[in-house]
Amino acid sequence: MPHLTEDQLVLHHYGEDTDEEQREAVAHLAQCAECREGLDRLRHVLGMVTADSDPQAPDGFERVMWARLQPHIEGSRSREGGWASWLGLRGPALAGGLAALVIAAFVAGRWSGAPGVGPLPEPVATVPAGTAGDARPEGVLLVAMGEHLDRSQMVIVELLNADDTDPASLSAERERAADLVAANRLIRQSAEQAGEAALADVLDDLERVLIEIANGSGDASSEELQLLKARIEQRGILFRMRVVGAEVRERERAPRPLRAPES
Amino acid sequence: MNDSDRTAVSRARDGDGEAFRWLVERHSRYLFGVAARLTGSAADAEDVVQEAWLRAHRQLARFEERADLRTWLHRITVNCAIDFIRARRHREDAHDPADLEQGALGEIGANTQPTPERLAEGGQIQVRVGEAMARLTGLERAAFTLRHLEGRSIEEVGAALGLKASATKHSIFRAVRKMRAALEPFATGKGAGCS
Repeated sequence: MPHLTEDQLVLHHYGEDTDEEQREAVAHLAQCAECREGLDRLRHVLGMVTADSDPQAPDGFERVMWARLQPHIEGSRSREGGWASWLGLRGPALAGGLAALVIAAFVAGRWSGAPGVGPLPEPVATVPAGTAGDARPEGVLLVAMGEHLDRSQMVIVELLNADDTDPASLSAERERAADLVAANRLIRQSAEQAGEAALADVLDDLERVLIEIANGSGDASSEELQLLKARIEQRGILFRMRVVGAEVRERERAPRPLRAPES
Repeated sequence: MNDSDRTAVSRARDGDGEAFRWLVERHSRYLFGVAARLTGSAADAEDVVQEAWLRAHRQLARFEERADLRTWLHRITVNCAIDFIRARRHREDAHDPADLEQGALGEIGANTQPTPERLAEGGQIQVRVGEAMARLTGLERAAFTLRHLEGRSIEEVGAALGLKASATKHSIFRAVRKMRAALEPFATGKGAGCS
């Protein structure tokens, strides 16, 4: 049998070789001093890599972290359990109206397949709250919101993973982004009017990103695509969307309203 | 979980902000290390730790008190870091730092040739490891860290990072090769590899 390759030694070290590979490796190692030495060296080097070599946090990191967290933590308490409560608890009429609008936006915008960024929809405040929406279950709203976030996230991830040298391959993502803009704007404006600054902020950034993607042209340069990717990452939009998305999923799973505000 | 953590968790669940602050100040440095070794960036690690605490805060009611708090926080932080890494994966795939033979690490290794004893005495092995880890691409670092330090199987690492098994293996292989190239001179003073 030939000597074990470095990759085979790595798999053997981690116990990731198949049963047959393991038997062969053990048999070979029993008779090959050179490979045994190679495995010993590998283990010695990998043994140097421990959690002790983790980067150290800068001085005062704990206080900085708390300063970053405090507005979110205290905000979640003072807002009756966070923005999710706004969706269903603060005002059933608002939630219902929003549900209707979100669904309407999806129907009019996305499911019609109309390309491009359409005219701005009116904010929720112009819609008589508690009309059509009251008949809609809160779950429908959450599903619509969750779908919107999931679809938006998929568009952004596709763009981030796209080949920089082939911007033209993003035509489908541009159309999907354009379809999502109207629904996003409705939700954002509603959030702003409900005083949900954190949610509105995320949706505002998302809207800018969606518009940038939608407005990108098929003959954009690789450099333009790279710059767009960099802007998206600098805003940390995906991360923040995941936070919001997690709230939606939790709310979808919970049949009853969120726990009472902590006092 | 020790009594202090248990008490703080209990109070934090009841809405005591000071108790949650105590937990943040007690565990954040540790979580930073976990996040930084996965992301390879202090700034990214800060974001990951912040996100981890926000998730922890939301999930505090579901935390099982018999479990170890730090282990729970560790798991949340790793998951947040994985989310973060997946989001920026494309950039890391396209960016492969300079070869290990080049740059500061190579120069230090070539010029000084410290013995393992000298390095250990000064705690420099950890410094060398940190430098070598910093030269991995994001994907290599994440895959290697999850396999080597977090003890996740290659299948689990692939699932976490959204990679096929073959791609996961190759990320780990590349990482190990780079780590060996950087660290072996200080570990054994011998050449690398089995022919």
